[in-house]
Amino acid sequence: MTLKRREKRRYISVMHQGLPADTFAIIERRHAELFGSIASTRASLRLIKPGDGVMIVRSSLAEATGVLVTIALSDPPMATVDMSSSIKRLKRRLAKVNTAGGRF
Amino acid sequence: MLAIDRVGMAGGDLQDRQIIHRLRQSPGRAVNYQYLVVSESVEDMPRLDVLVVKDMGRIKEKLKKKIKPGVGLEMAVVPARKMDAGRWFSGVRELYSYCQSSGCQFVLSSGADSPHSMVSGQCLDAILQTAGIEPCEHWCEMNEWLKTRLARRVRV
Repeated sequence: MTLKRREKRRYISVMHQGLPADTFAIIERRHAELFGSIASTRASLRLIKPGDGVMIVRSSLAEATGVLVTIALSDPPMATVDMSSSIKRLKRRLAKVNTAGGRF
Repeated sequence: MLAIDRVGMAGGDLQDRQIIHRLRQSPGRAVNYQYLVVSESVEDMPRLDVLVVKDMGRIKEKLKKKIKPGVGLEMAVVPARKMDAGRWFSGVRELYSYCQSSGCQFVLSSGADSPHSMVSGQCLDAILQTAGIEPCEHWCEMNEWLKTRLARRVRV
């Protein structure tokens, strides 16, 4: 019997300006431009939680560095707010910032 | 939250010791705040702390003639958003190795002029890694350089 291990992931919260779907499309396109389509497929990017102003994107752990570079080098500009290995923890951290008077 | 330890901003309370101000000109007298003189022109070399490098290829020869060891050479992330990133990364690598050989300090900044164009610490680390620069090593060097540079200032 072999163990089927799930690939590790990273959840990244991104502060953006336009519509979440459009911003996500920009990230996908820019990632493919920068690192190629093979790396882009390996990143298995997903829009997890579209939000007003801040959205959550999922990526594979192996390609997380590339995704962070992509976010920093995307136009229109967008900023990485936080990154976590679980969506629950990421949401908790974002909520903590909200209660502390932050804008997320 | 964005893993930024020190930020610069225009106006506000200048006396906050944790904030380093980017000035175009030296105040010319002892002041009670921390600052670095930043310029985009190589001609300003004798009196500046940080030179902003926009195009390494174009400025290389001038740099070799006028550079003073200990000066910070800054590359901003903002222009890379609109240009061929491969060219920008090769500029970063070239500038970093030039800094290592000439005794200057490589400075990577966001160049942000709005909250959305800010770059988080994790992203800066990722950019450094992609450019083949060890982030921990870079930030340690940067910290030391900043300490030495700011210690030279006459303060009120």
